[in-house]
Amino acid sequence: MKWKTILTLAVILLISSSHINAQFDFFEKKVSIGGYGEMHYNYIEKNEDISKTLTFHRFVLFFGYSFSEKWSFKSEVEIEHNYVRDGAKNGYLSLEQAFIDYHFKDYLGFQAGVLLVSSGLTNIYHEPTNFLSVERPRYSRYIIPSTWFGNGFSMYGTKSGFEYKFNFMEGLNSDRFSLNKGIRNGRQKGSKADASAMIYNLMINYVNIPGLNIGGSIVYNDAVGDTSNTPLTLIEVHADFRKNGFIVIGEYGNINYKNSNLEQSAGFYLDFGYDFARIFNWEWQTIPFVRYTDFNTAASTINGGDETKANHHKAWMVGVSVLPLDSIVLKADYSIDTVELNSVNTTYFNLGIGYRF
Amino acid sequence: MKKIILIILLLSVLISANGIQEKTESIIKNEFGENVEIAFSKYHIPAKLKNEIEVASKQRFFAESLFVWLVTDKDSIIAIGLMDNVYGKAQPITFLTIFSLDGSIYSNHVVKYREERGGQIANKKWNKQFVGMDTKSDVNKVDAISGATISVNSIKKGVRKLILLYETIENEVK
Repeated sequence: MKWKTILTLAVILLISSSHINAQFDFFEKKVSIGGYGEMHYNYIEKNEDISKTLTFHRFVLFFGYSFSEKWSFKSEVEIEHNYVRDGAKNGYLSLEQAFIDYHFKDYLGFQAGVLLVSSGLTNIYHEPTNFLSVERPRYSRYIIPSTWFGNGFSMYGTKSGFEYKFNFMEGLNSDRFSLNKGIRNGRQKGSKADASAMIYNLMINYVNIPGLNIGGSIVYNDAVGDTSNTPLTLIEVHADFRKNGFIVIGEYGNINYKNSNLEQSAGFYLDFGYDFARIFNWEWQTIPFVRYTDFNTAASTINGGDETKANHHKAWMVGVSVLPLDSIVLKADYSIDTVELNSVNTTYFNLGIGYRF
Repeated sequence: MKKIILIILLLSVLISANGIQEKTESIIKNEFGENVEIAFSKYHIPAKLKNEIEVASKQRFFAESLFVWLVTDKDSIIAIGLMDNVYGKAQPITFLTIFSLDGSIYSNHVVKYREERGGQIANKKWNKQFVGMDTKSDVNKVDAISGATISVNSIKKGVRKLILLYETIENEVK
């Protein structure tokens, strides 16, 4: 009799608990649509050759669906340079993200599908409202080849102010590594990717101080191609600090290669900006900024000689980023890039408009 | 066998709890001490008021109702908490804004965040920026968080809605 009573009470408790908890079950199945995009005007002057272009550089649509509070799907499809045409150099359509997410707990989640490599700030936070320049930092093109994505699996979580993410993903094609672009052309982008040598990637960030995101990551890949095998290790550190109108962003990355003439790629950039709307009480955030960049995709080679100097870039940039709303940005920047070999200068003047929603 | 069934049932009770009630009570007791009494109820927002606040804050309410948490000490109300949800990139963010009886914000808390990135909005120091705000305050002065733009904007507008709603609720519950 005693057991029957306890059993009955337990069932009542279970039913009432479910009822109480159901009140706080705020989840509802939902389709989410978002996106971002940016149009650019680029003026480039090098050795008296001038080019002027106007292009809708990126048009990205986000589509997601929440199956339950723990299970969801997220994706991003991107069109670059307005349209895609067979055989044309310009124009690009890609599935940059498409994954199933199982958010078990704040400290543990899993993803499978097309994922971003967790390396650097811009590869993850690449919406135009997140970085100050019109184009993404050149460091985020030549040292960390943003947008770097591929098929694979990940485990992630947050605990005690630390965020972590471990990715196990398709590797790079070592045949396509080059002195002037590092690993950039080695990305397989998920298209029937060779899975014989996977990437191991871990990122850890500390985000417990409001306005500060500081961390680092490591990528290891025993990269293979049809004619080469180039193990590489990419280690990078980064920090993004935004407080009281001040913005300081910095990233440093280094890649070491084995079995290859190319032995090392390395570089960094540092941004400093301030939102003058704080002083003048303007409605639009108005952020003049200055950037210094130094990177070398062939920082060390076995052949030596001019290879290193020919790929060593230094650049100062000044610009302004204006946000009428947090989700819309107008930008302008001016920079002079100097290649160490023969001190060749290239002048850039860019204008841009971007959005996200 | 009976013991096993009982243990399974009790575990089911624990597992089925989604933790929002427990976490909210814990937040309130951390703020006001273990001896306060806490009661919650569902509040249906009057349609006309709901529409006015949505226009003023430029954000829709998550639902037709939200939760009101009364904090009492020795039979006197000492604070009123309003719990609502706003959408982040895809999932709802559950947050609790606790008001002093003068209508200003006593504290603000993200009770549950369901996305992979942007969890910094649950940071206590970041949420302290809302403390003291009332109907005359500009929530846009709250600092942005890099990489969490959508969540930050949603929470700012969500808190603004609750500030505008507070006076009506206070008059009804007092």
